[in-house]
Amino acid sequence: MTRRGPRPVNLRLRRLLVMLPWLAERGTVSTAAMAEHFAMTVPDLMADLTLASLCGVSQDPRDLIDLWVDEEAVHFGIPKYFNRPLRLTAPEAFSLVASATAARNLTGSDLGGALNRAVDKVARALGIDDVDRLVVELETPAAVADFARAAEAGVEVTISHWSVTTGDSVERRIVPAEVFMESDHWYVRALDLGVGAERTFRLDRIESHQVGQTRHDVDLGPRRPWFSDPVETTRVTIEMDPAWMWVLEQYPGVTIDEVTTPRPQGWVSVSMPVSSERWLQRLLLRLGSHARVRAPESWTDLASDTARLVLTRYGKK
Amino acid sequence: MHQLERVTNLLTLLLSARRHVTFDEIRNELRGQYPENLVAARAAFERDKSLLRDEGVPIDSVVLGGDQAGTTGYRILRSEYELGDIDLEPDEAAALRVAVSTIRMGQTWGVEALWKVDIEPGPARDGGAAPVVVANLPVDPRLPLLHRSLASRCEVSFDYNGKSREVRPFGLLARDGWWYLVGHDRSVDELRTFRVDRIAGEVEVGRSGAFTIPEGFDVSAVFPSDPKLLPDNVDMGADVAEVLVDASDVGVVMAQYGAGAVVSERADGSTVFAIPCSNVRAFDQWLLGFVDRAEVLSPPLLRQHVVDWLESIGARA
Repeated sequence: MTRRGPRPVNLRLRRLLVMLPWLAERGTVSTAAMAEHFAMTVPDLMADLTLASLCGVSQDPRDLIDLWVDEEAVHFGIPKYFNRPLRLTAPEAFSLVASATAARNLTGSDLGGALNRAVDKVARALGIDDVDRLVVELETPAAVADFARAAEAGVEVTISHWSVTTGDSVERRIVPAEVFMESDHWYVRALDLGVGAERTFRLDRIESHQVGQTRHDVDLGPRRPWFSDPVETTRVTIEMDPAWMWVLEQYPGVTIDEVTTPRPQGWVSVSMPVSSERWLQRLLLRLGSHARVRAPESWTDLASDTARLVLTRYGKK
Repeated sequence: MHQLERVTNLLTLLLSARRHVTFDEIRNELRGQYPENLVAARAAFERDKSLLRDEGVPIDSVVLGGDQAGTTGYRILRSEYELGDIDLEPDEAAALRVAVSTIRMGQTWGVEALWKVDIEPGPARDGGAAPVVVANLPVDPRLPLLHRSLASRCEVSFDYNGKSREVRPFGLLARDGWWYLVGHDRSVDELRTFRVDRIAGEVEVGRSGAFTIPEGFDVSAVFPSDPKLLPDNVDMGADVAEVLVDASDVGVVMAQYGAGAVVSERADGSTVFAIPCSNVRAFDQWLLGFVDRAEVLSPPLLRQHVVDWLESIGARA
């Protein structure tokens, strides 16, 4: 069992400064509803508000923040200090503008005009006169809208999926649960009816799709981080020239190990999860002579074997 | 006394002050809340100020004159502290809520912003279900500062590729899973693009209103979306390569470059494509992703370059 540590002062203060004006506007609110709104537990909420009720320019009761808390509700009296929320911080402003700008690009988004107006109003309040200086390029394939609708309705979709490993296309029946974009690629997370398990498919590898009528009740729960199941991956150790680390930047789970093994001067040892031999072949070809596999032993010759395989295409043995 | 209580008291005091107040006056007003020892009290006051400023509270400080000459006075102007009325219509608020729940940046900035503008954060769908479309944008802790500098036309300075840069930010662009800052680099007197995650260390911000952005500047247009189009001064005798792609992978290349890139189709379904190769390194990374299912036909120099690359891997083994 783990015990939660004390909540950091800065986070408590940040929350308090947004809660007090919110409460001032409403007067009386149930503690449960307020705790839910601000994603807190009721005891944490009561602790913070009770402390706030003891604050003011002096300890004269007339100078204290006018609020009191009982088990059922929080009551706010006369606003003295925090009538309005603190202006948006730089991260909050950035997040709001970037999210809204990105969301406008989503195919099938019917937010359109309302979002544009909202962004303009927020920008005006922040003193940003030209929101167009921040651009989020978010290409959304047309299929995103189809899979999203299928996920909302819980209907199955038949897809023709191209496998990078085999180069073959295979038909699968899936029930989409979520469509998401990460590292510039779109994916659909779904129940694969053929194997009865969760699978994630890259959208640009789905050659065709057909939305069906059959409904399924699917709850896959929240998405897990990439490679969270060690059974599905092999941890590979690569020694490489650090000048070529940029090739690995886009991949999750890469760690630089602090080990000292014989290697060319200045090289680093890196470990990362690998889901298939084909994927590792591609990576090793891209890294060229700037890297080599140290472990597992079964893959230490994979780079040179793969290079020889490709060279045969060029008439070389 | 808990720091949260003391800092909240300090905040109420500075918000209520009608003139700048000195540390001695603050200490007197908040009697018993700062340590007796002057050095310890001063250190605690500095911590409190720093906490408030880190949370975005604009504490104004001036060096006073008259009988308080040389001492620093502090106050918080409500006009600087308070978020103005954004006055969102219900559909605008709903659109912002959907945007924040759909576009994720791995932080709570967006939700905190929604609280301040008085929008209920949470699931974008009716019934409390999680959104079915989610786009994860990359995030860097320096982005909010760069965004604010851009909006306020502040010059920024930072280290990049081992050199100190002084940059007038003209735009921020999220593309291909990375954030880029585009601006005028005063150190070389030219327009430059910087990948934000490659900026080394902190970003220093200069005064606001330091420059104007050229009329018609379009951040998306300043550098090509395909890195293979970025010249790298390696002459391969042509800017476009002819690449033979196996039938199994034709669909992928077609999705990337379209039918317009097809040079010829062969009886077995393999296809020759015209692919940009102005940037040889970017081209290599693209080509080698196909392992043995693609081959450069021309220009001859590029074909030889690929052979040399592959042979260097074999030579290292």
